[in-house]
Amino acid sequence: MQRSFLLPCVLFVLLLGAPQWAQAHKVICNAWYEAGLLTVEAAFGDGSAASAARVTVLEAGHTVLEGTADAQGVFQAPLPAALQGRTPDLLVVVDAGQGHRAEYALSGQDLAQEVLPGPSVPTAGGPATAPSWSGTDAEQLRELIREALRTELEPLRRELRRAQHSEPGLKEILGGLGYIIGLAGLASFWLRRRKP
Amino acid sequence: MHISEGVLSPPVLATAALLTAGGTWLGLRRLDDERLLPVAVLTAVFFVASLVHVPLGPSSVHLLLGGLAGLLLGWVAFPAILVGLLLQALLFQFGGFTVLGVNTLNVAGPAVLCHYLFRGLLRSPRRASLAGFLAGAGAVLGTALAAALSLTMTDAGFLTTARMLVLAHLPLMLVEGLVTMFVVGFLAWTRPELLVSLGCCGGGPALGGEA
Repeated sequence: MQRSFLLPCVLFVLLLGAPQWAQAHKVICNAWYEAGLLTVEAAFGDGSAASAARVTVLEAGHTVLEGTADAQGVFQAPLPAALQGRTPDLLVVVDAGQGHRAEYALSGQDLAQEVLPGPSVPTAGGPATAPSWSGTDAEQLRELIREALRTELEPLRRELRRAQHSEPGLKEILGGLGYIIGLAGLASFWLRRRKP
Repeated sequence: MHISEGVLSPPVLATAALLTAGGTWLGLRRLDDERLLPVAVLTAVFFVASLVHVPLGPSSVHLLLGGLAGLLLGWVAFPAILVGLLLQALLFQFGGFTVLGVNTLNVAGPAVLCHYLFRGLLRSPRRASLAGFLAGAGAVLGTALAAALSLTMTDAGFLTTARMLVLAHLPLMLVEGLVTMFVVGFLAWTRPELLVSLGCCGGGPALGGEA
């Protein structure tokens, strides 16, 4: 009987040996807030964009923002007036249709750094530098620094986002196979006990 | 086909979970020492197959191979596919725990149906290949329709969803039909007695000692 399952075994080793085709089919959702815009990125596990996915932003179960992702799977919108000046925790839900759905929790702290950056920064500056800047200059400088940092950090952020949703690799596959062998062993044990 | 968590309503999830539990119980009762190794191998194949992406057609789909497990295992496909999906949810984050019941039902249900529809063809090697193709393609079609049916309450209505899902799964039907045809045809040619012993696990006496 063992020999007769040669073919499935060969098939299966082929599947195992081809992790470069190994591409998942799940929905990945990322959301961040910058430059006054809430950006939501929706993609399938294989990296293709989840275009025309429905994006819903919820605050404690109530919809505050709704829209559809573009062909690149990106949805961008300014925060609605209801959220101005507040920084609640938000839940971003992406529905790519056909039962594909993903969620992303956008914490209020992330929002606070972008929405209300003003008062926390100048207190950190020493008294020596503070007098040399007038209020508007300092605000402009802060905006410039923020913009530069955003551009510099964007590749890093993208890499981080990608790393967070890494594809299943050999480790996961071998782990799963180990479980199946273990379960088969348990079943064999159970079957033998059932009929002594 | 993995329906994600949070899409379906609790009544749909509970009904599907109950049906899956019933199917799994039936399958476990039919499991015996003889069939254990093929079941384990087919579970492993099903588990890994979901990683193979078929880049054809309008949306991205992956191999299922439910038809292969169903045709060869009958009701035992239920526990096999349940274990495969559980491990996929655990290790690959495909699907999820609350939707385990409905996803198992959508894959294993049509697979078991294919077993009863096509096992009569397993008697001769030539027709076994045909049975393989029909079961492979039929199970994918059945799974797409079952998924559309479970999404009826939540998505754009049954007909729209079904049309989209079936269209997306057409290339997969062809690929799975060919893979299943190849595997079953090979088994029928080299080890026909295995197909007979496995085919009997449906419980019926349809497959005699011939072949």
